[in-house]
Amino acid sequence: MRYILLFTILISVWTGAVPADMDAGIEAYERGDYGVARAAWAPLASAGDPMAQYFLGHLYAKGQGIARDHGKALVLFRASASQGEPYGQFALGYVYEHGQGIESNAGEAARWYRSAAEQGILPAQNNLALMYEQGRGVARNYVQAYYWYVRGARSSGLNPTKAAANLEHLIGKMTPAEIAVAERFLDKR
Amino acid sequence: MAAHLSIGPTLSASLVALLGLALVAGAAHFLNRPGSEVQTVPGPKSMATAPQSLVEPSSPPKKVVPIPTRAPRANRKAYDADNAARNGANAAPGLLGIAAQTYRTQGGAGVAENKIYSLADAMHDAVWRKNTSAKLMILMSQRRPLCATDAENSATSTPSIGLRTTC
Repeated sequence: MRYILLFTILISVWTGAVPADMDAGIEAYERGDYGVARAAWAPLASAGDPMAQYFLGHLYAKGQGIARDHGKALVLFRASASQGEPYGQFALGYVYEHGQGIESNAGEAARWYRSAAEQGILPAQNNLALMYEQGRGVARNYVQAYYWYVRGARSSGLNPTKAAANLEHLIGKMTPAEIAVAERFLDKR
Repeated sequence: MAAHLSIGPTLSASLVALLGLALVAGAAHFLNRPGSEVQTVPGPKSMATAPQSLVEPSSPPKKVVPIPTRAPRANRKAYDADNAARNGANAAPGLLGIAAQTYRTQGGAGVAENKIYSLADAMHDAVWRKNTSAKLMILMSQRRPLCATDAENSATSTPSIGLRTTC
């Protein structure tokens, strides 16, 4: 009984500490204090927090406050993505696309981009659209590309201008019939 | 028994005759339906309008650049942009013109590199969203006492669903 009580207290303290450490890490990251950010996120990532795993993986991938290590970044991104964290899924798609710490695999990249895109992540929506436009990892499909560019361009996330510019470029390659089909496709979703 | 045997063939013959009449009447009705007339008209409407270019030789069809069968990707993209610009009137002229111009000014094949959202872009997005949600949480927590006051007020008076909308 005593152990159960102790366990409950520990869990309460731990869960109470999670947001504070996460936020402290984000604040430090925004200040450019990557060492403090890493110190805040590392315990959370070890405890299995998927967002912290993604953030820490990013520090390793970019070499911010630590030596660049694509292998460790990949492990963290994979752990994050497998728990359904959309940014972790985007990052895993990106490293697959660019062969960072792993052999390049466009099919896997498209697969992870799609998972993140379906959860509303603008960078993933744009990059998936680009793969459809260029026929990399998926069969070339301008209608699908149009769909995901529009989703990205309409996103409430940060800086959708790149997705909008990409959409303009794609429209230049589409026939009016293809655009009509894509619009109908968007209306159905 | 003998009567049944003699009446049986007569009835069968009558039934066959009635069925025959019904079939003939049905077929006649079907052939007279308006829908069936459409099937008898030779060819769709587009067939009648298709040879317009033959009637008006003064307006030649748009020049179509053939797709290079074994061309590198960059050439193919150049084809896409050029052909799109030529046929712009059929698509979205404003957007199309900008797209083709942007494509050329950026040097064609290099454009794809600028289109991708990077890890840094995604991190920026994630931090921004995380901050936004944190700020929303703070705002919500600041509004909580108002809701509690409303709840207390409602507890002293007649319960009303309408009061909940003030929270």
